[in-house]
Amino acid sequence: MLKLIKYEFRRSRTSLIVMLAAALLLYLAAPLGSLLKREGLMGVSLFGLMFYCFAAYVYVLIRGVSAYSSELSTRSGYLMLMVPRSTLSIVLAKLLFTLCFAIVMLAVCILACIGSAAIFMDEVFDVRGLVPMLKYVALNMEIDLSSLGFFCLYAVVSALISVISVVSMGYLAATLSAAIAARSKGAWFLSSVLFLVLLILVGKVSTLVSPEAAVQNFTDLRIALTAAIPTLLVNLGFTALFTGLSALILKKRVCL
Amino acid sequence: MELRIENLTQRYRGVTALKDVRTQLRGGDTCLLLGPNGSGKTTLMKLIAGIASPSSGEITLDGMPIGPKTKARIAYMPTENYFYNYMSVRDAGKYYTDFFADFDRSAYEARIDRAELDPRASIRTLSSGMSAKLRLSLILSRDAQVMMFDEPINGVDMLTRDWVLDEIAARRDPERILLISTHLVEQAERLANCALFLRRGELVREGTLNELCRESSLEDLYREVYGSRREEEASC
Repeated sequence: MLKLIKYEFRRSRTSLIVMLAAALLLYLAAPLGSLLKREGLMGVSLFGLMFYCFAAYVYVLIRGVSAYSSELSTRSGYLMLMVPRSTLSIVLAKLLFTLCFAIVMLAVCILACIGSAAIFMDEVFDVRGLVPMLKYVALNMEIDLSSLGFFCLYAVVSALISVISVVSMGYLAATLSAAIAARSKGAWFLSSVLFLVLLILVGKVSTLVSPEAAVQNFTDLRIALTAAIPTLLVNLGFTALFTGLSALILKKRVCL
Repeated sequence: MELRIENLTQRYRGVTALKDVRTQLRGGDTCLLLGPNGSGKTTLMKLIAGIASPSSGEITLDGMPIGPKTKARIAYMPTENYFYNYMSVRDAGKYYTDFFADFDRSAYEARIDRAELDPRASIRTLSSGMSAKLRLSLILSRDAQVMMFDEPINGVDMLTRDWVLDEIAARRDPERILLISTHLVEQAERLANCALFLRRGELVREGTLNELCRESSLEDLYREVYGSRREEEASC
């Protein structure tokens, strides 16, 4: 499976470099703004990186699904299916690569945002250092530092689980579409409809499991986030189910 | 060694590509897979290679159904390019080295050198003839027990055609099955010892060349099998 993951990385090498370069450019606007005493530039860096984080999340999702679905509709799928590996290994390798890609992007986003924010806070609010900055943020959110840490950890885990959950839905939708409407003009539409159906299904089940997951107020933050853990587990369960189904349908029903 | 195909049917999008095909090939068989366009030759090869799943029926290699273990022993050369966009000629060799234990990297490099392919060239930029040479170099550098060539001498120049036929001939082995689909019957005949005739997804004729060509050449037999189809259509 490591070799399969390696080739997923090779396919994505260019886009990863572009994403890293974009993050670096946005980050560099902060020290440049500090050097030139231009708050606007620092603000562009910080808010640009926040937007970049959202765009990166969407990109990872889209890339994760499109890389797989394109193999089902083009001849490069022959390479995927000719290798002496089970379809489960093939699909799992793609999912694990997407997870690794997401972790890398998340790390880049966090580091770039913290770096940019630190410069901004230093110049504008005279707050120096990471811990003082986090204390400042926690104070403004009216929570303690440990709650902020817990929230950040939950956000990271939740984001990563949502990535693999959504991508696995995309895999199943694409595989089903390839099995039913291989290379026909309606395949893309069918794939989109199936994806939406799966998204709604998982959403409904998640709501049933954790109806009280919404944060009431910041003093209940830990309780609310702990109550949301079943939702994460449900998402993980669906991820495993959709991945397994995709592999099975790929083995039994897809013809390239 | 035995490749067994039992009651194989393949349907997709309302078309029956293969219908109840039943045959077996043994080690030492070098078989021509013949038929006009759309007769199911490529579909049959894809099913054996495991890149398509049959609607019904079964294919087994020494009793094993098609899966990861058989894919390690089967090499398939499609008619089209099937590489990732980023790949160069060298990258294709690396890919095969990583996944196929029987792939000989140095033999591959010697072949691409002989074919005058630049290892750094992007596969996307290769002409159809160069691309065919690349695909041939990849499959010929494997030591698979079942080797399938889908129209290997189509679209290549005469000298390359001779090279391909010589290389395929050199692969003949009592422990190996070679399956070659081609329209150039006369050129490929010298390689083979058996033939399978497909027509509209059905296996209409099969046998050793000794049996099939007792009274006429393979080319004449081809005309007889498919020429009668044209007459039927004309009379309708």
